[in-house]
Amino acid sequence: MTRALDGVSVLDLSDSMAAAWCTRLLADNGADIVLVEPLEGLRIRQFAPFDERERSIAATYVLANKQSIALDLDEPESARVIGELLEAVDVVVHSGWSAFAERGLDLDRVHASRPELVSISVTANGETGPRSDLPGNDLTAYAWSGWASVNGRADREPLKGSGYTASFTAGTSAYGAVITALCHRELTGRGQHIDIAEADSMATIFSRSMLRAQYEGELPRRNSESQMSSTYPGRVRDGYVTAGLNRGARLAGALRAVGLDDLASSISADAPARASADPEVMRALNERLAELDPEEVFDLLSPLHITVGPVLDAAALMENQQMQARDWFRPPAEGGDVAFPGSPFSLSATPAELRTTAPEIGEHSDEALTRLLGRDRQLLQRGVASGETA
Amino acid sequence: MTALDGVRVLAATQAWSGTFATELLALSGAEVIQVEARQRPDVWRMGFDSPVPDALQSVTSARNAWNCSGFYNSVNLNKRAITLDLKADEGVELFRGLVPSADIVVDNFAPGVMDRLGLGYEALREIRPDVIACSISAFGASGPYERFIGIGGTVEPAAGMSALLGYEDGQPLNSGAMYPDPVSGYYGFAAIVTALFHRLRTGEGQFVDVSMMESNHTLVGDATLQYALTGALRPRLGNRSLSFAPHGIYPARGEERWIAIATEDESQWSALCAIAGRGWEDDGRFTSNEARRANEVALDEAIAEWTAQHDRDALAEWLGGAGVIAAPVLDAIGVAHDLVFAERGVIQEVAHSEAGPWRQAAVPYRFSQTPMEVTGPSPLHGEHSREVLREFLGVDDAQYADLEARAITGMGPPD
Repeated sequence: MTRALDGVSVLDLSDSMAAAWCTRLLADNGADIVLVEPLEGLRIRQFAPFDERERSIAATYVLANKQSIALDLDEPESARVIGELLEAVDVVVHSGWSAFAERGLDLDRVHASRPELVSISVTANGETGPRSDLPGNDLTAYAWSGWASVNGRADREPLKGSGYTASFTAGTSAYGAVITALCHRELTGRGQHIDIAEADSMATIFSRSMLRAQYEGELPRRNSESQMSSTYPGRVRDGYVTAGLNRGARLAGALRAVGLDDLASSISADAPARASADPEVMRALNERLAELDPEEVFDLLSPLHITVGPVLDAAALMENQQMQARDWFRPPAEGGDVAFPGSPFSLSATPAELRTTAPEIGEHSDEALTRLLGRDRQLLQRGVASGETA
Repeated sequence: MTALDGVRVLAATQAWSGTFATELLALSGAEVIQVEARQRPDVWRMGFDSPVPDALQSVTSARNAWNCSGFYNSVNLNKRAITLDLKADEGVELFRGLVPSADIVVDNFAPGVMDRLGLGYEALREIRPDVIACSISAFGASGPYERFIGIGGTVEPAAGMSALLGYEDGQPLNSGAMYPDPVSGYYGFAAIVTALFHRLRTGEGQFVDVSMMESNHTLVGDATLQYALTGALRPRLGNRSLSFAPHGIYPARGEERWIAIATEDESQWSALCAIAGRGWEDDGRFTSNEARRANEVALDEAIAEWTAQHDRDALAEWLGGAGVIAAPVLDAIGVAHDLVFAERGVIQEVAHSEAGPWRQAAVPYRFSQTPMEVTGPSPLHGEHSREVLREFLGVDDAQYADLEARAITGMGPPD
């Protein structure tokens, strides 16, 4: 099977969720990812939660489909190995160069000698500017970008999304940038360096709130409880659901669907927002909808051209008929029976594929060093690299 | 030089996901022609009957509300905009006439709409065999939900995100500004350039199917993998981390002033303790990350009581300088006027033909050789209809006047 990035080799020197998601997407689309980690493993392998074998599930998610080389980074020989790897690959990804610079590795010099190299840095606040040295994570990306200011309730603190939402968004953004650079290289033969900040990727998508706030002279805020009823998930049987009933025709359709035909006939088709609808009508509708569970509301109203969002959790999603029909949750092709979430996009000629679960630390030291550099045993014997040997 | 010089995109996109995906292509140097209809402007133009926004009332060039929507103008930089009435055969024929010039055709209609218009992938491929066609839809271009419509606010719950967003003691929530839409935009852009790379290497085009439900679910996919591996459902965590404490957003002095603070190792925790001077380092409840996680309610209360006495920005600077993870929670105006985002080009002042100069989100990436540049503001409704139809289809002034009179193309609402 052809994948879009077949033959593209990537050296992954990163240790962040954002950068790891970027390289996971590269891997799924066919690139060969060689991950370099210290003998004790990447820091992200310490991120909770853990599976029964005490392995980080977050790390399993982002490191899948990659190969791992473990190096003793305190050995000068390791820096030479990384230097040689930098000469051998198409793309290098990192999440901060200082540790490599301290070991005498100079990315600018590699670019000078290999103008075709594409490199990308994915950091919290970027490589330039007064915030470049500030530590950050998913939480600070939500804060700097403005997103936290609108998430949550007016009477409570601002909210970030769960887990690593901002980091994965930035990783996605970084992936697009790498491929854009690869397209340019395909056209011109020239590589380049890309600087991605998680805060930048998040601020860019706060675009509409920023411009509208200026045009309207009014700041978007978190919603009060009374405002939330029309925009936030509302309670139904065994869960929550949101529905776009913001036009009269849709509201009338929903009323008919739950058997409230008399009320439906009182709604004019071009009536404006749900918020201005008769509260008695809404109460009657919500009472009927509350007898259904979220997916029943979806099944009832979606065919009527009404937008409906049932609140689905992981269990419901894995059972969801749409996800099952598209065979979206699948185990890696080469091992395991645990289903992973599928690809975020489907390419008809070059579908992405998850082949392997996350590697053990140094699992591919032997194979990858042999393949890329033609050397292995010596390093393994001297303890510079570690891992399974053939 | 920009990365995608010479690449042409025909965008039947509207609102946010598709328009953002194609804006990223435009910022990368592709030539993007966005298609609306006079009868049906992009919904983000807010219709023909809306008032001009308050702060633009005194801007004399701000004549038409549909060209002065903060939503539309925030995500359509560098594009040309034309109108074609795709409900009329003639409008569809003009669209088809543009396809030979288009490397990429993108839509975010519900699946099936492009097919019904005779503009589905198979039809496009007959006109241009190596075309890349991308459809961004709520649930994807197959399966039992294929024809159902969705928006950010309904995709967010369906994608598994709302179940996880919320306070520890509260109900599921949606984000405050339709987060799933631009996420699908980033993924749409990513998918399109992946297909473009394949075409550059092989000459083969393809169909790109972006489901908002699927693409957004990947952002919380680790929680689903946790369920698959252990049977445990991740609860709503507020701002907390599953790994580290403290990890939260705390009040600063003043109204609606908030600061994010986290420590991910003991040196950061020690630095936080030293700055706070509250003796936390000696408090048995907080002496290790494990202890802090176990006593997180007390920890958050102690930190909030302390931060509430401090200026947000001064405290964030102090903590950040000491290596603690910290950031002020900026609001929309704060982000728009942030000097660091401006220095990095993320925020730029862009002069819009009607709305005037305003600060807006521009460039998320810093490329060393092919920098993204803002070459034009978001276009007026139908602004480039005449020039595009002349340039690509040889429509002369008389023919254009005829099409315009029949509202097949033109600017603004039909007469």
